[in-house]
Amino acid sequence: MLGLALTALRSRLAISLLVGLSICASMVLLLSVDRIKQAAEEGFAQSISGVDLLVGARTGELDLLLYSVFHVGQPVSNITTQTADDIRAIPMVDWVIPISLGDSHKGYRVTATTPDYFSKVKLRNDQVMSFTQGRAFQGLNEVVIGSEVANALKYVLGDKVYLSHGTSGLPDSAHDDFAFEVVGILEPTGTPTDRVLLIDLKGFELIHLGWKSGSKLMSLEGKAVDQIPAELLESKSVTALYVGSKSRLQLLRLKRSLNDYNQEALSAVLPGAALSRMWRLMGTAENSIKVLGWLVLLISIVSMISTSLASLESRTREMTILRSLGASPLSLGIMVMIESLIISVTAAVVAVMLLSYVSALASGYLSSEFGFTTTQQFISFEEVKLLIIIVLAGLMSSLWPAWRVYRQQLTKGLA
Amino acid sequence: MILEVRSLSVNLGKTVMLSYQDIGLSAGDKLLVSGASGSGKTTLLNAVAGALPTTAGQLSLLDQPFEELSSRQLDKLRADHMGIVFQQLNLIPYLTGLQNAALPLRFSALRRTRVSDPVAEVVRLGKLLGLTESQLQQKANQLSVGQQQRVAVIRAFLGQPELILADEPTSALDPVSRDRFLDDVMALMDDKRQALLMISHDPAVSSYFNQRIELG
Repeated sequence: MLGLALTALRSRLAISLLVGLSICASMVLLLSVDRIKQAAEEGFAQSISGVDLLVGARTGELDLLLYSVFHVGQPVSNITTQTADDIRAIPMVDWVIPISLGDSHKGYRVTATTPDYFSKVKLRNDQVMSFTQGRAFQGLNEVVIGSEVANALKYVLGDKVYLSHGTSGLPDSAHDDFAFEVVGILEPTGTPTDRVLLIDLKGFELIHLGWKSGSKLMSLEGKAVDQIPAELLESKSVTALYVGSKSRLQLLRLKRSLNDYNQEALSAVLPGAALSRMWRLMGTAENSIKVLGWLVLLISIVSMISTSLASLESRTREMTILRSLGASPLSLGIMVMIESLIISVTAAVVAVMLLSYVSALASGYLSSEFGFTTTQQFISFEEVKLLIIIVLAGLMSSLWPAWRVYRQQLTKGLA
Repeated sequence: MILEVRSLSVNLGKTVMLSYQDIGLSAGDKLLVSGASGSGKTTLLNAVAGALPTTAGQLSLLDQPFEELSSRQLDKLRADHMGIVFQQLNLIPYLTGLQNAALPLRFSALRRTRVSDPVAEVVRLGKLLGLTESQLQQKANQLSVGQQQRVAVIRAFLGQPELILADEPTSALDPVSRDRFLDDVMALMDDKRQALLMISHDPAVSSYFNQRIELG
């Protein structure tokens, strides 16, 4: 029956190919959605790593995560550097990286921090930040930019950048009296870091000298920056702290002690747990994409059923001849099922090969454009399960045409 | 006795009932069933092929009464002991003449045991019927109607089934081709083993048969 089914399929090559192609396309779509989702989830979960706690002024867990990691929204308040020093002095704490937010450049947020940021804060599989070009900032007037900022604004090393006070980008809020020089461009990471400009905290303080209540009262123009007293450039407050602990076993105790800190109202958040909760909140979008993929597959299977049924009409004579030769209705039904199985399995194999080939080809582009790091493995166990479900669905879809063949009377075609 | 038909009646729908006279075919018998259109010739052939349930009477092939057989057993009986030639469209278009002719061997172990080398046997029968090996290698839809009928005859005779059923196989042929075709078919008949039941409305073919039934 297999030989006969193969020959029958070959005789309807064009239509079989089209059905196989549509199933293959829907499989590729489903698997791609799954892979991209996985890559996005991994990217999201690794938006920040190496940081054990995020600490900010008392606020909700998600608010703190949004403004300190995703640079979305505004912090309710700052925390004092005295508090930062107190936290640094806790024996369980290994390191503290302060960050100050609030300024922007052409729609991209600016994060002011210390040079330690580049060695302590990690992204994706605990990798330290690396540079496509240049290096970390060392001076007051140096800026490191994320890959998206560099691409979108066509910045190269040595370019001069002026920041804006706040996020409005209005002309009168420009820090146009002090230029930062681009000294480093970060590798694409698929994290919010791609969309930020990183400057030194002292530089941040410098450009805010002479600002009061959001207005510039004094210009830095014509002033000798190196003669400004160092204490004026020391931060009095920062927006948030990235904290690394000496032992993960003590993390919960550290978190509790920071939340109970009595000098200032603080919120301490475990970034991994907060990110997972946030991803779950965004699950609706993920499910919508998945539903779309399954709908495409459903349409493909319906098209396979309708093609099988339509071809059965033209194959009545063929079935009658086989029945007259002694083929049982069951064996002819099995033949129709084998044909569907061959189409679905071939489509599955081609889909996996196509996906692996395209993944390998597109991984560079996806990484540089979207920061997605796609899984390089040929096929995962989850994908095998998905393909088996699809192939079984294809096989089930052939039950109806097979039943029609089974029920078909021999006399229908004999006359 | 190869085929025995006794007091056979077939109900077609609610109002039409066809009744047939008794038929008994032994090895070497060649029966022509003729009659006007609608007289029930093809219905008889369908019933004898086991494709149509009968209302009354008895049908048996090689002493096996049809009413005692399940549909699966009937399929097996047909595969092992019957060769059928239709009026037209006898072949599966995407198979070659040779593949079409050898199809019965896929479904009958008994007929497989009777043919040691299927390709050689098909080619031998093809030669007897005037078909070359290269013609047999062509796809069925590339053969002429007459060539297709000859391939159908090879298929019916391959593995020497005891009963050959033919439903107006010459209706699409001109008189010369018809006579040649019937000469060839009769030449293939193994009178010690096989019986032939053929339906035709053409009175000119009756001389080829030793038994005749006229349905009214």
